[in-house]
Amino acid sequence: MKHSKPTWPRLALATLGALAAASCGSAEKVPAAERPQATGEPTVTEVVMMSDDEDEPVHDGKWLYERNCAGCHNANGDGHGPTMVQLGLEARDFKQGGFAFGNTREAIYRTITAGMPGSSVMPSFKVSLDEDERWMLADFVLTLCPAPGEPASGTRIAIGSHPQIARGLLPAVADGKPQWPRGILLGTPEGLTFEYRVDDVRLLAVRQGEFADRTDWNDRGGGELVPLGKAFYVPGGGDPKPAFTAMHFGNERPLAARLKSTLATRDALGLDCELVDKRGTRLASIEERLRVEALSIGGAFTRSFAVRGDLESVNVVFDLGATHDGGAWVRGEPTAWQQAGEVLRGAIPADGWLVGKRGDGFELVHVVADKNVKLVRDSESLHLFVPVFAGAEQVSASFAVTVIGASEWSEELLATLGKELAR
Amino acid sequence: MKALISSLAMLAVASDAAAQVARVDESAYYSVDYLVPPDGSRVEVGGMDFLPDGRLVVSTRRGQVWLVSNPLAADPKDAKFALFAEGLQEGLGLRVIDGKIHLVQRSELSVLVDSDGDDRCDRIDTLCDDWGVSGHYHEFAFGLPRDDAGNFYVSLNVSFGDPQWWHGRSTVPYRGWVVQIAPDGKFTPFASGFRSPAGIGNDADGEIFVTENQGDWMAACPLFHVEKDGFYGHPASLAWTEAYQRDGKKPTDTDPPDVPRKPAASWIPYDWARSAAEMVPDLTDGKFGPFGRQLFIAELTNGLVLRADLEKVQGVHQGAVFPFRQHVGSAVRLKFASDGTLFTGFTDRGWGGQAPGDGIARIRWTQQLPLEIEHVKLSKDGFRIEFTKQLGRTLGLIPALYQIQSYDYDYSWEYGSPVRHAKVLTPKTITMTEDRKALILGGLGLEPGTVVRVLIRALNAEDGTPLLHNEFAYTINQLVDGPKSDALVAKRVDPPAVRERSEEGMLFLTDGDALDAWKGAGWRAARGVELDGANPTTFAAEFPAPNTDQRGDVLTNVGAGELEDLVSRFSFGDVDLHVDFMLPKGGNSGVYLMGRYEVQLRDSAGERELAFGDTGGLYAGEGFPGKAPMFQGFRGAGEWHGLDVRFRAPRFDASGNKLTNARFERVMIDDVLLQENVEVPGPTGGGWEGEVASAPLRLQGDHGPVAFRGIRARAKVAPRDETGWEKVFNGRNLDGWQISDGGKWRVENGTIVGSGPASHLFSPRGDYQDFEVRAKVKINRGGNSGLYFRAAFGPGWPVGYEAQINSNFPTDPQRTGSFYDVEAIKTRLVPSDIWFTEHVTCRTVADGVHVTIAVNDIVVVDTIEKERKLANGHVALQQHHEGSVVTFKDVEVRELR
Repeated sequence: MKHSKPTWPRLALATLGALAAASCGSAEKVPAAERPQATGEPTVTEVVMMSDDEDEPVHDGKWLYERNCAGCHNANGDGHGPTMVQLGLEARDFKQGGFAFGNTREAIYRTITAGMPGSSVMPSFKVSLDEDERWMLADFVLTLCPAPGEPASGTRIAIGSHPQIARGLLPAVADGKPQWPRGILLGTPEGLTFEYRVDDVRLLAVRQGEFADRTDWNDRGGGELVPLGKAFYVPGGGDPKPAFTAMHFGNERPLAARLKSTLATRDALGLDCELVDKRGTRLASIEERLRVEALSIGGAFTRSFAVRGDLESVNVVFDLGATHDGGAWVRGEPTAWQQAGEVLRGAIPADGWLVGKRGDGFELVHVVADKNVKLVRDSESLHLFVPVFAGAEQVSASFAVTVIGASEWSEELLATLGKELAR
Repeated sequence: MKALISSLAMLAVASDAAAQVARVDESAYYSVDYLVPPDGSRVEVGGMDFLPDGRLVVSTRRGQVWLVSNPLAADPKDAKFALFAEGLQEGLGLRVIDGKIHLVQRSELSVLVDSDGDDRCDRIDTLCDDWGVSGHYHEFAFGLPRDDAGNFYVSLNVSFGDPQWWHGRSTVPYRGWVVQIAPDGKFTPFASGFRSPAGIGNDADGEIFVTENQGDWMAACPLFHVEKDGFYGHPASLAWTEAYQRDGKKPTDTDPPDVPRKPAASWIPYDWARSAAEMVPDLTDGKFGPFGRQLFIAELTNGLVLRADLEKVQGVHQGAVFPFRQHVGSAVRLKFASDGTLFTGFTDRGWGGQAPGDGIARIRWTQQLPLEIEHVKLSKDGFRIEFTKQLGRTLGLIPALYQIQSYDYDYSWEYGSPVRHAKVLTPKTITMTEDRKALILGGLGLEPGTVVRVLIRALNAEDGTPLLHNEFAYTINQLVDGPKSDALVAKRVDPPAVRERSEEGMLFLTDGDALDAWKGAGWRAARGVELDGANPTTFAAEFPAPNTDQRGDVLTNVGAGELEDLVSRFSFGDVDLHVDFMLPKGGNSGVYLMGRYEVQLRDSAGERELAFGDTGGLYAGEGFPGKAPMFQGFRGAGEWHGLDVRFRAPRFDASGNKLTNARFERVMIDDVLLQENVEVPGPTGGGWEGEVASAPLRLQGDHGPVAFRGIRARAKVAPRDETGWEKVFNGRNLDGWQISDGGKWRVENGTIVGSGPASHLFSPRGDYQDFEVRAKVKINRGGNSGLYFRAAFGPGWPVGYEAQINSNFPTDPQRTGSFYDVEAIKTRLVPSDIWFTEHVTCRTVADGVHVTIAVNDIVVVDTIEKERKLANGHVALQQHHEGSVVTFKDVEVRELR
C-alpha cells in the first residue's frame, strides 16, 4: 500500500471564497471586490450564471443547479465544469454515481449543506441556500446520477443517514507503522472517518472520503478493514503517543486506556474508555464524542471529552497531539493575541485558539473547556491539565478540541470561525 | 466375503426385511426448510439465540447482527430479517441473557445495546478483550456457552506460520485456549491445547464441550469435554501456561510436549466430520424426537448434522457419535427453539461445504418415529445398543450383520492422522432383550484408547421400518470394569521427520505440461471437468484454448476415439502415491501400481455390501481373492476424491528370485483408511505380466471416461550403499571453486547461494569422468539453473552436459530433470522454493555416454548421449540470470570404477 503524506486543503482561503463566489453563486457572501485575483480571469465569471435578480422566484432544482453547481460539476454533471477546467481540477462526476458519502437524497443534501470538510474545495451551502432549496438541489443532482443500486457493492461499506462504527484489523496508517488488529472506524454522514486503535485507545487519523472496504468479507476472513478516506489529520505520524496520562499525587503514573463502549446514534458518535494503572485499577473514566463542523472555510472536526475521576488523588493530562511539523504555536484569547514563537509559561486558561504551522498551511485548534482545565506546555508539546480531584472531592471536567485546516489565518478569521462554532 | 453375501441374500428372502438395503429417506422423519434472508444479503452465520419476545438473533462472519421476527412461521418466507447491528469484527458466538445480546467478536466479548428502542444497536459495551489478536486470519474467536455461575466461555484459534502453514502458532496470549469470562468481565485462562475449536457449547448437564478440527496434533475431529486446566493436545498454547512462562520454555512445532493430555469424549470418523462446529443438547422434552439430552453437532464440509450420545464411564465422558441428518447445508451453528425446531446456521466461505453455504435452515421432527439407534452404552466387553422401536424377531441376532472395527490414531505434528491399528472385531455373543428394543454385543475384545466403529448391515423394526442410520463410532476411554486406563485414542508416536514444506520430496506428475509425463492415446489435459448435465455417464470438459499459454492439469480420456490406459513416463518402486480422481455415473477405472497391482475405482455410491470391485478395493488376481475396502470410500459421481496409496514393491535377490511379495501398506480415500497391510502375491486382474522391482504407474482408461489430477509420488528409498561419496562443497566456503563471469556466489548456513547476473561455479576438480553427482537444490520462482557435469571451465554458457533446474522460468520449456537439449521434460516435477534432490550418473559406454538423472530419487532420464560424447570435466552450478536465486547443499560426488 502506498501512503501519501496527509495534507490540508491546498487552496488559499481567498481562492476558496472565490470559488464559492464564482462557481457557487453565493454572491451575496463575497463582495465583488474580493473576487479572486488568481482565477479572476473574465472567462470564469462569464461562464458562471449568476442570478441577475435576487427577487426572482426560484424555479426548480435545475435552475438552482445551473447557478450553484454547474461551474464546477458542469451542466451535465460530469465534473468537468469550466471552473474546474480552469483550475486543473475535477469535481465529483455525478454520472458515475460515485458519491463520497452515499447517493441517497439525504446524503446529497448533507453534502450540499456541510460541504466537503478536509481536503475538498466543495463549500457549504448552508448559509447561501435555504433548506428547501438544498432539498430541491439534492433531488435534481439525483437525476444526473445512475439509478441507485446497492448502497455498498462487494465489500465496500458506505455510511447512510446515521453515523456508523466498524471494527476490524486496521492497515498501517503510514509506511513503517504497525497495523492494528483491533481497530475502530467511526464514520460520519458528512464523510469524515475517525480511526482509532483499541489498544490504549488512541486516535490514529481523521480521514475524509468514502468509508471502508471490509476485505475480511473475502476468503476465510480476518483481512483488513481498509479505511477509504484520505487521511488529513495524523497525530504522531501514524504512531501517536497516549492521549491521556494521569497525575497521581502530582506524580505522573503510567496508565492505559481501555475501551469500554462505542456509541453511534442518530445524533451522537463516540467512544468511552477507562484509564487504568498497571494493576488494572480504574483511575478515571472518559467519554469522547466526535462531531463534524460545517464552517464557511470548509470542514472541521471537534472531539469533546467528559472526564470523571474514579480514584482519589488522580488528575488527568490530555496531550493535544500537535500535528504541526514546523513553526511554533501561538495561544490567544479573542482579545489578546500573542505572536508565534512565544513561550507559554505555567498553566493558563485553556479556552482559546492555538495555531500551528503545518505543511504549507496551518492547523487551527480551538479549545473550549471548563475553567479549571488549564493549558500547559512541556518541552515538546501542549497538554491540557484536567483536574478531576479537588481536595476530598471527585469532580468531572469537560473540554472540547476543534481542529480546522486552513491555508492562511488571521485574527479576523479566528473570530469568524469562533462565531460559527458557537452556533 | 462371497459366503456372507449369499447368506444375506437368503436372509432377505427369508425375513420380512426386503427394504433393508434400500436408501432410507431422512426427510420422512426430519424435514428441512430454509429462511429467506433479504435480497443481496449473505447471512454467514456465526451465532444464534432467541430474544425473550421470540425473535431470533443471528450474528454473522460479516459482523452483522440480524433480528428475525416470526422465525417459527409455517411458511419460512414469513420470517423477516431486520438488521440490528453491523460493522462488528465478526461475530462467531452469540448469547441472549436477560434480553441483552452478548456477542463474541474476533477481538472482544461485547454487549450490544439498543438504548433508544428503535431495534437498532446504538451502543456496544466491551465486556472483555483480554486475549491477543495478532492480525493473522485464522485467529477466530468462538462462543458462547455459560456455566451455572454465569461465566462465559470463549475458544480461541491458533494462527499459522508461513511457509510451514500447518504448524499452529500461539504468538499472542491465549491463542489455542478456552477462556472463561466472568459476568463482570474478569478474564481467566481455563484450558489449553486447542487448535481450531470452532464449536463450543454446553451439554444437557451444563458442562462445557468443544469440537476441534483435524490438523496438526488433531488426528481427526474430536468432541472434548473441557475441564479447568486441562490440556487437549496442541502444544502451541502451552506458551502461556504458568509452567512454561516460569521456566521460559517454548513449545516446539514438532516435539510432542510432556504434558498429560485429556481424552476426547468422542472422535468423529473423518468421513463424517471434517469441519465440526457447534453442538447443542436436545432439551426440548421430546419435541424433537426420541433423542432427549443428546448432543447434535453441526458439520460444515459434509453439510450435515451429527448426533452424539455420551455417557460417563469410570467418571470419564465417552460415547457414540452417529450421522443424524444429511443434505442440510454447510452447518456451523445450531440452536433449539422453544417448539423443538433446530435452527441450523450455515457458512462455507473459505472452506467449501455443501450447499447452501450461507443462511439458516429449520430442522423439524415430522412426528414420525424412525428406527434409530437411540443409545449405545458400553457393557462388559461389548455394547448395549438400544433402539427407538421394537425390532423384528431374528435379524439382529445374525453375527454376519455386524461389521465392527476398532482403531486408533497417531498424535503428532502431522496434519491429521490416518486410522491406525485397524482391527476387525467379532462379537462372541449377541443377545436381544426381552422387549426387543436392545441388542447386546458381547465378547468383542474391547480395549481402552480405541474407537470402535460398528456397522449393522441390515435391521428392521417389528413394524417393518428399516434402520435409518446403521452406523456408530464409540470412543472407549475407559472400560466398564478393570483398572482405570490412561490410554488415549491419539497415541504419541515418534514425530515424523521434519520437513520444511509438506511437498518436499514429492515428484509432481500433472503440473506444467501435464501430458509430458504420461503416454496414452486419446488422453488430454483439461482445465476442468464436470459431469455432463445431459449425460451424467460422461464428462463435460473445458480444454485450454489453442494458441494460448493456458494449461490443463486434469488428465482425462473423455471424448477419446479409442480408450487406452495412461502410463507414466517414469518408473516407481516403493512409493507414496497421491491421485485425485473423478468418475462419471457408472464409471469404472483403477490405479495400477507398477502397472500390475490395482486399486479399484468404480462408481460404488450407495453400495452397502462392499466388494473388491468397489472403490478402494484391491482387485482379485491369480492366487489372490481380492480385498474389499473397509469403508465406503466413494462419495459420488462427479466429485473429486483423493486417493493415497503407500505401496511396497516386491523384492528380488540378485538372481531375480522374488524374496517378498508386493504389499499395499495403506490405501486411503479422503483420509479414510480402506486397506491396511495387504500382501498381493502377483499381478491382479488385468495387470501386466511378470513382476519387477520398479515399473510405471498405469491409470485405467479402457473402461470409459475418468479424470485424474494432482498426481504426486514420493519414492521410498530402501537403504543403499552409501560408500564412496565425497563432499565437493565443504559447507563453509568456496575454497578451490572457480567462478566464471564474476557472478555472485556466496555461502550461507552451509548452502551455496547463486544470484546476480549469469555466472557459473566450477568444482575444484575438473577431471570427473565416470561418476555420480548429487545435490539438494532449491530454485526460486522464475529462476533457472542447472547442474553441469563433464563441463569445461570458461566464460559464457559452459561446454558440458547439463541436468536442468527450472520450475517455472517463463521462456524455457525444459524443466527440472531435463537432460538439457538431449531429453526434455516439460512437466513441472517440483515446484519452486522447495528443496529437491538431483542425482546424475554419467559413464562412457561403447556408443556414447550413458546418463541418468533422478529427481527426488525417481529416475526421470536414462539415455545414451551419442553426439557430443564429452570426455570429462568439472561439475558446475549455474546462475542463469539476474533475479534467479538458486541454493545448493550437500553437493557430493562418487566416482564409478
